[in-house]
Amino acid sequence: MISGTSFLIEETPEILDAVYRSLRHPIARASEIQDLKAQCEARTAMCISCDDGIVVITLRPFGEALELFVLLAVAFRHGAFQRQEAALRNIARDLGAQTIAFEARRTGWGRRLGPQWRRRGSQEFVRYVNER
Amino acid sequence: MSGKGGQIKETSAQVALAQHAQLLMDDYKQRWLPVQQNLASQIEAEGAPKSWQRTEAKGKASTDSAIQFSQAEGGVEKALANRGAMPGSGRFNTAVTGVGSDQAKSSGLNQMISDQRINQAYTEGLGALTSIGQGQSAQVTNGMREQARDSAMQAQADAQASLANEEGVGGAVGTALGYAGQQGLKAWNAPPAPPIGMGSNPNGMDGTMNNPSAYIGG
Repeated sequence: MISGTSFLIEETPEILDAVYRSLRHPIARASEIQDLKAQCEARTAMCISCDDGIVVITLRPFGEALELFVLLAVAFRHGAFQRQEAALRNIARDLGAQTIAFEARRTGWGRRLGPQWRRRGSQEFVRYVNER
Repeated sequence: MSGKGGQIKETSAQVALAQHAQLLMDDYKQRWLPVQQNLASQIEAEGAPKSWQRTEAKGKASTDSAIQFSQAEGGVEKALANRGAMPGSGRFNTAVTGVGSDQAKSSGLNQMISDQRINQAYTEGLGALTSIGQGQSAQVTNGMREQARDSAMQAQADAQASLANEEGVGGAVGTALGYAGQQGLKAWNAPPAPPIGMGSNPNGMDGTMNNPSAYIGG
């Protein structure tokens, strides 16, 4: 749907509560979910979802350019990242972002991500939107 | 850059960029939310039991049948007249009435196909809500077109089958009678008209169709 992807905009961020409750081993805290909901309501973040999962994104300055930062990502099924990475890049491109980044709270992302992704700091990964 | 207490203050350029980012996100939502909402409401409306799409599709299905069968009836009349069956004769009336009976069956079948197609379009539409923009959105509206096309094709196929069938029956009787004129009662041993191998089951709406065009689409 949005930006030619399978994602839809979640108009009410309350869905995040339900998603959070359904997680067996959440890596985010309940207070962080409330913070994300507040950001969505303040329109500084946007909650989008598809069959593969739900993502909260924000557009923020990084250096002199804009970056799409993934604040939260919950996969509903296996392989969600591989299937939806290109979709997130499409959305980032449509929003005018040059890079896309996220903070990895679980280990192993370095092995899973493609060579386009670079480590930034100790926990973040970043890639250029238009780099193939 | 650095203020009191080690806090880093944003430059005016960074503040402006942050505001720009906010505007871009707002703009993005304003661009996509209405599209998303319109599509959702359109799909909801299409799926409703008495939606105009259903009504229109059923109306079109009946009209398709009427048009196709009108042509078939004309064809039967012409064919029978060419073979010497006069309008108003028993053989003529039997053949033409047979077309009318087939038309009723075809119209019912078409309306059933229309409803199935709308249901299919509705289901596809719900799925397409998540895939519009990838070129798949066209399927939502195409579903409507497909059901109309299927109904029209079914009507055409049934009308042609009916034409061939009734023409065959009338023709076979004509042949038999003509032969009888020459050969007397031996003519009753004339071979029957060849079976018609297409069209919906002439025995009624039991769901058995051997018309391949009934399955085209989707």
